[in-house]
Amino acid sequence: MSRLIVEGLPLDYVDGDSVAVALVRAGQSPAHGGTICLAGDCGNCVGRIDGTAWVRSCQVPARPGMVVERHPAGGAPSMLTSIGDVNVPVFHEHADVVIIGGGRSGSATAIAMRADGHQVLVFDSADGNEVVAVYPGPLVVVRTGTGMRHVHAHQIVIATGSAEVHPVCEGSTLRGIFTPKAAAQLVDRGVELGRVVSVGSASIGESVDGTLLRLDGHEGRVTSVTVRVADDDQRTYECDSVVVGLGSSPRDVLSRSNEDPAVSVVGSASEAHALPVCPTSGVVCPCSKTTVEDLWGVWNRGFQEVELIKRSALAGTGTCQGSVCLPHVRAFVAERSGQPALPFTARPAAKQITMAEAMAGIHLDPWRRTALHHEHLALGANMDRFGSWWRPWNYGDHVAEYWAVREAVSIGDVGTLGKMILAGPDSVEFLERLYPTTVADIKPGRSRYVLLLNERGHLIDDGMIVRESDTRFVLSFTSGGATNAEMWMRDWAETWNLDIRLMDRTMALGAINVTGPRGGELLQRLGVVEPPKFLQHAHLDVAGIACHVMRLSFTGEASWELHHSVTDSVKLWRALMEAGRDLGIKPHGLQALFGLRLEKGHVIVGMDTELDTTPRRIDHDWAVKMNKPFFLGQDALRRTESLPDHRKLFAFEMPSPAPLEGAPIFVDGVVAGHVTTSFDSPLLGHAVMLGFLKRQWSPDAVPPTVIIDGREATHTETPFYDKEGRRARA
Amino acid sequence: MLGRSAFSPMVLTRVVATPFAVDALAADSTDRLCVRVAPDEILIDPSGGELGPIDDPDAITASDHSYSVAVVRSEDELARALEWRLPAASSVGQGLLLAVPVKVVRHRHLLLLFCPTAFVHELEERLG
Repeated sequence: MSRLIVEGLPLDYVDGDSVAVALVRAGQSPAHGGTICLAGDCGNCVGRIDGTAWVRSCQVPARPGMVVERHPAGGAPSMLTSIGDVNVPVFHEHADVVIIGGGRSGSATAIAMRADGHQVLVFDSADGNEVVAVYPGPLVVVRTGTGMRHVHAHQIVIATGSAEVHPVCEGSTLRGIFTPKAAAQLVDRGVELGRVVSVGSASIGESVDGTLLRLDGHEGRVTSVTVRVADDDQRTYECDSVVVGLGSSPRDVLSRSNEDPAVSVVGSASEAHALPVCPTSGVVCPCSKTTVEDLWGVWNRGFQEVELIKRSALAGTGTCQGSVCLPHVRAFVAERSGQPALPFTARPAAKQITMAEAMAGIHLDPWRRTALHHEHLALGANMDRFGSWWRPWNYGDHVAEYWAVREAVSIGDVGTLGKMILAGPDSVEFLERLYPTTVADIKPGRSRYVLLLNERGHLIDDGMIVRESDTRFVLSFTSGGATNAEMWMRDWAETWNLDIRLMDRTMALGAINVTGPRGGELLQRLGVVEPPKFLQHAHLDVAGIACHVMRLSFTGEASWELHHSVTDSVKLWRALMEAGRDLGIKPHGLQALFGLRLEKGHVIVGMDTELDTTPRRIDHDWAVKMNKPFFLGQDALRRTESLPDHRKLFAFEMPSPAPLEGAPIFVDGVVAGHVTTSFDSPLLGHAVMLGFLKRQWSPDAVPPTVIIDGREATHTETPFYDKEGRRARA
Repeated sequence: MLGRSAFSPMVLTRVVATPFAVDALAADSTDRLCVRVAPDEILIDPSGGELGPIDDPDAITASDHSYSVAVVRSEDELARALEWRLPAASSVGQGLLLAVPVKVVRHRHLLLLFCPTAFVHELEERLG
């Protein structure tokens, strides 16, 4: 004899016992009552085993020292205060055919399929491979002792047989009630059941004739069974256990959870079984405690289909997914309606699985690191995730970083920007169609800021066009928009049948932005005799490293992006930091950058734009040349340009502190918009922000003041800083 | 979980050209590692010597340092970690491994796992 620990006390079991059998052997019940089937079909034996709740104890072999706790009577088990190992391994497999169930039908199907040359996998819980779910795909999820198997199959055959019907009557939730197969199993294992009375098709102990009418008990355990032998004749039999045989129903929960045409059902799982007699009293659904009275209640309120009854009375929404209650619910509906009642659906998983088992094989989207990731960490950066990359939010003092940009020199890691090379005889034509800006007049050696619009004229990204030669360009995109931009460009190139070549260089190239009034001086120290002027670019060596140097400005100060091979990023970064030491160089993170660009009124796509933002809404009409022959979104802009637009991005300023991004903007006490981005400007000494106004937006009707964060904010114009743009062009 | 060598950065030459030009380039490069990632794009190990002429005047050729590579010891182990079936007829498979984009390349007797270097930290953590 070995021992389990049940509710803190030792309990002997015989080798080969399941936990449920061990408990019955000891005169106990696995749970708090209800028919025991020992087939894994119902929820009447679930408990917490070795810390995991909702485990069907009839399916778990007893092991020495195993800790078993019953769920609270009438309630759910408490949530765990800690979780154990959540790393359940998952193994992927591929098969022509998966057969679920290794019984007669499953085995016969497997033989036939193999004879036809198919690669067949057969799963049966008796072999330690418990199929817990079938998802569209189809995908079969199998729980094993060593992890989860995710089997991708072309065809799935469900051969899970049939389940025994549980009785529904007064007293059917007492302890000591068994199905015939469960009783036979217990007898075979030498479990003493006391005086046994069998009703219906069962033939263990004393078999009695008649229809089950009622079960009575004492202290929760059955003590007698009453049957009706004629209309006005009832007989009651004293007993310690009762075995009720009411036939069977298809064990089809896996097929009821799936309508994938690749899933078929064979054997008794596919057969029409006779429904039990319509229940008149008692608990129909032991999982949800739904009674026959509850069924009447929802029926009388008009819920007269099985799917509606399931949702309104909750029958079939519990642990066993309707295995127990479905035949009785169908019998109830069939008798009321006079029509056959089809089964209700089920949802995977069909068996209880732990969160760790459900999570197996699930991974979050990965986040990229730039080649400078460890440089940032070494400088004390607080890293955060933006646009699918880990990026420095700040290096501990974003205000100091801000002043380094405004008054000295700073460097920022912009290697995350989308970077592509475009070439080919149709490259100019392609760009003219793609962008609303004119492209043909960009001279080699020059660059231009561009918006990227979709067919509806909505802004989907922005960036730079950098012209290298007549037919070759470098294009940049936002960090989060690069992947979509590439797909967008390839799709349109195919659609237009234009002769271009497109190479994504985003992860092959690093980029460092040198910005600030002393940026040019820093570059000169590193060998750049004449840094490119505003919106010019050149291929130059910086500190001996080959760079494509692009002069632009997002911060409002003179800026140069140094695009280079990622293998040189660390060397270039360190060279810049070293050479700029006496110039007061500091690296800047996104927190400072977002404020710097906001002072210039530059928008960030995705932050200051919405899904349907047009150039007009953000005052970027200047970047759209409507007189071009064609560009994506032109038709939509033309259709809508004369229509009133009730949303627009405006600039506001107010005393610090800056309101939170997303803060509502009130006009006349009514919410009229929200703040998209905000910043406490160290230079201006007050808060600046952009925000959408949804009403009263026309230039003549913009209210001079609005209320944000309970305070007055004043409407103003961008840029907030360096309105003439002298510093960026310096 | 997956027997493999450590990931090492790899220098490749990336070529974008017409599919016909890339076909010819691939045919001329059978003696070295080639990864055909798209009809118009190929990655070639430059250590095998200079590339031959590319039959496309507008071809884009660039040195590429965006990938790291590990040698996988068992194809069966790798297959069990992939939701997609490794192509039997092709030397290159492209998809996700534990939600990280990878390329699986059969090269001579080796099974190579290519991962963008920017994602390697994620893949290593997930592979354990």
